[in-house]
Amino acid sequence: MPLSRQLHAASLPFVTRALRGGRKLRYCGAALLLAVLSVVIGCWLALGSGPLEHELRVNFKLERPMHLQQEQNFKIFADNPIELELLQAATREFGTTGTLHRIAKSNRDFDTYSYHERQIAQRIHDGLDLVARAGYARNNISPEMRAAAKAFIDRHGLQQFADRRTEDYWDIDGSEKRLSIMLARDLVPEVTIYRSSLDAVDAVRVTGLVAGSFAMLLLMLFAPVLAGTQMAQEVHENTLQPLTGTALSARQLVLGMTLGPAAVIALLAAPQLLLFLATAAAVGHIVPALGMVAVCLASGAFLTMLAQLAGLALGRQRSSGMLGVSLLALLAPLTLLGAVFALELPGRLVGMMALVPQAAASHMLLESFVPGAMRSNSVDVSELATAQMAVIIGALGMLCFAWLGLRALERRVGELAPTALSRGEALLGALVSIVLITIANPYTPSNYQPEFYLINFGMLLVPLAILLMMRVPMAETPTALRRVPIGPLMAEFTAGIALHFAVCIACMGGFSQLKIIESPVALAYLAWTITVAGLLTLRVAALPMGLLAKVWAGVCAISLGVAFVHSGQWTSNPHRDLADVLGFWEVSPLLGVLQAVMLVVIPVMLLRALRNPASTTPTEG
Amino acid sequence: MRIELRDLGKTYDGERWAVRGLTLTIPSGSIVGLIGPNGAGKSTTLRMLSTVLGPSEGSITFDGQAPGADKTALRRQIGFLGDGNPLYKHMSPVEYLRFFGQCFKLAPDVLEPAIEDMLTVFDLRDKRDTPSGALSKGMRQRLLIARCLLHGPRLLILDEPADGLDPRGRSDLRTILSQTRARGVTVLISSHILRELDDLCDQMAILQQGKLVVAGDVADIIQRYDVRRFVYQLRLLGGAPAAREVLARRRALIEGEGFEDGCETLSIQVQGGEELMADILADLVGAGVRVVTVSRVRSRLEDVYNRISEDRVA
Repeated sequence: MPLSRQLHAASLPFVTRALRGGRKLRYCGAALLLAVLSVVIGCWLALGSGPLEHELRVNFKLERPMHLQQEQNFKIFADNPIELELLQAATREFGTTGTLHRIAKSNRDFDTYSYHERQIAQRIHDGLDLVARAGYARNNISPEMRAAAKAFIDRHGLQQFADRRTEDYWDIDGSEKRLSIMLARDLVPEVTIYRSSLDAVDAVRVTGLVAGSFAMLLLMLFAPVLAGTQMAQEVHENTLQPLTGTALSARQLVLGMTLGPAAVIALLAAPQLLLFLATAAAVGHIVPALGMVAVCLASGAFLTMLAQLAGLALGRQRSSGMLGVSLLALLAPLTLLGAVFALELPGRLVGMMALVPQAAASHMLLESFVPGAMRSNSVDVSELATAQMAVIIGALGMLCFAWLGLRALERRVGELAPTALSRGEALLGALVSIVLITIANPYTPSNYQPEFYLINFGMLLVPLAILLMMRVPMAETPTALRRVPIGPLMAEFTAGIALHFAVCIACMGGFSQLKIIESPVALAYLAWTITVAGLLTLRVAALPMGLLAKVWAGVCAISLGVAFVHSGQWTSNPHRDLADVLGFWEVSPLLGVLQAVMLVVIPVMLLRALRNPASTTPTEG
Repeated sequence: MRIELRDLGKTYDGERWAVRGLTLTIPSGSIVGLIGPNGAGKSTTLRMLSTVLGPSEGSITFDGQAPGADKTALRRQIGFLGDGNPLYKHMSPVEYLRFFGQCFKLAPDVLEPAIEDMLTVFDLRDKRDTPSGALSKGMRQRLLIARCLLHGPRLLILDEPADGLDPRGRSDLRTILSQTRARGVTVLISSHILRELDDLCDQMAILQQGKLVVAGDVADIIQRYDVRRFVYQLRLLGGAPAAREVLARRRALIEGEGFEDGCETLSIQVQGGEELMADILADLVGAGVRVVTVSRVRSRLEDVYNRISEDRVA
């Protein structure tokens, strides 16, 4: 059957169900309302004169803080018309040579002035400083401006005050512009009520930003939460079982269960996306805007599959509501973190966009309207290029993960195979994880190497553990009769880590750069970390988790962290005292002994549980 | 649809068998009852028959054809109601049936009349737009069976469909199954409530511990397991006390007493053959008991099942 017909057959029942009755109309209404809200919020945010709007604009790097605007434009902002009148009245007292002399001599002691006069006097004093510096600066100032400043000094007989200033530098950004404004106003600041520095075009731009943000939230936050919740509900209420007996294949079923909630999100997001793309085409940059949509779709697909897998795995024990709240609690902070990350774009970490799709989407959203160079914290061009590359590779990686998620869901829903992923698929997943992590934390010769390959190893453990869980046979087998192929699965897990180190060696340009091999203790701790991480993953995935088992898993996880840190410490300093092999010995010999015992007991206990699943049964429930 | 099971077996762990060595032929257009205690393997068998579960060994053929890798075409000919009876509580019967009709890939011009037909047959017209969560248990069960029949399957598989139904609901279920059989649909039904299947099934199969104990025509099985059991019903116009004395003397067990069409009735079980019954009858007449009729009561499915279970325990 052609793909289009397959998709149609898969989506028809679920989309019809999602939009049945008056729902379609209600969703359309909500979507339009959201679009109107985007316009209202956009205009308010761009043109509003209130302190909140100003603060938001400053936080979003759309406008400079008020005090900087006052300083740079030689202005004083009045809070209201009454204050404006008072300040304007006070201004009229200044501007003469006499007042300039008085201010210059004051040494910033303005106690004799009224409150409003003091503000003006301070601003004029700042101006005098700049004019005096300009008149006698020898570097980086245009001759015209120097001449203009000198002429002002001469005209008002301010030489004695200017001479006191010995600075001859002139290197402050935008000083020349400030100076020209000051001189044009004869060193009398402009008094005005604060208005947003953004214009109508900027308002359209901000409206696009708001619409894009809503679309991003819908595609990357609400779509996964909705799909995951619905899957959990199907499992919890056992309504999935009748669906598996229909004429839909397992793949069609999974696609349908994805497209049903997606239809709701699509209805809500469509006007937002249209608004976003239209504004980007009109007053922004359409290519990054299209890139943002692509990133949102790819990442949304991956997150949706992940949420559905969570719903499928946990739906039987947990209610759909609880899962929905958990997903929101997990994804919402990530979205916020992504937005902050994109706004700040922290230098060496820009590659993290490959790993955090929320950051990638936020970055592309900003690039659509406020490219890096235009932002108030202007961004390095090479960093921007790295960010773009990370975004593209990250999106491709997310697509790959989404496909793996689809395969896993298909097998789980249709009970087509005992494992959720085949060996090849798990290997592909590991490879993609390695690539994304290497881009997120790339090797640079100036960096300390262990930071590169050990931190990446730590990050890699999470996706590798998830992939390993998907390789565990999960047939409906009683615990006592379960057989976990420990050897082959541990071999696959270790192969993934070996692949990571191979990539690191290739990046560093040679085996000799791998400092960890100089310390047998570091190597031993690393081997212990790998072994226990694998065994713990198998234990959690394959066997029941009662309360005691959960506590034990927590202890194992903490020990993993301790061993990992030890490995790092011994790598950075391979010539430590052998007495430091057990880090806790320094704190207390008792803790040291406990650490030694745990190093032996943890792998043994995990292995025992996996080899004899019946022994874990008493901990159930 | 004619179904043949050959040495069918299913194991979930490679060691313990939920079902094994199941060989059975289900004639087209018949109603077959699958009987057995909990854990006998009924649900596993039904799930394999509905193709949602693959067998570990053996084969199933539908009209002589084994299901291929793509089972979706075959599933369009099967209606399967598994255990648990789940429904979408916020969907009305019309929405629910439309949803499943689309899952069975019915074209709109076929689906909408089929929905109306099902609503009529299952007496759900008045509740067509009521959320399923607000329907009575009987109505919900009817809706579930309607869902299974919506796409016009040739095989209907019902796992414990009478669970939780009141007597009226069970009676309705019997009517519906009879109507379904009349449409030429093969029906496979499992139930704990054997009286539901007694006068409904043409064939039955009894499973115990994953093995087929007995299978075949219901009347034949009853006949086969009935030879050692002689239950008679007496209708008397008078002389019941004298009759009780005679029966006690002859060690006949009175299983039930009643009153029917102006006559007292006694159900008795005699520990012997028909000759003994002839002697008892002669004694009754001799004692002045006015016997109107004596008729032999055939065993019911439940009796046979209990007998087979006893035999296996022994």
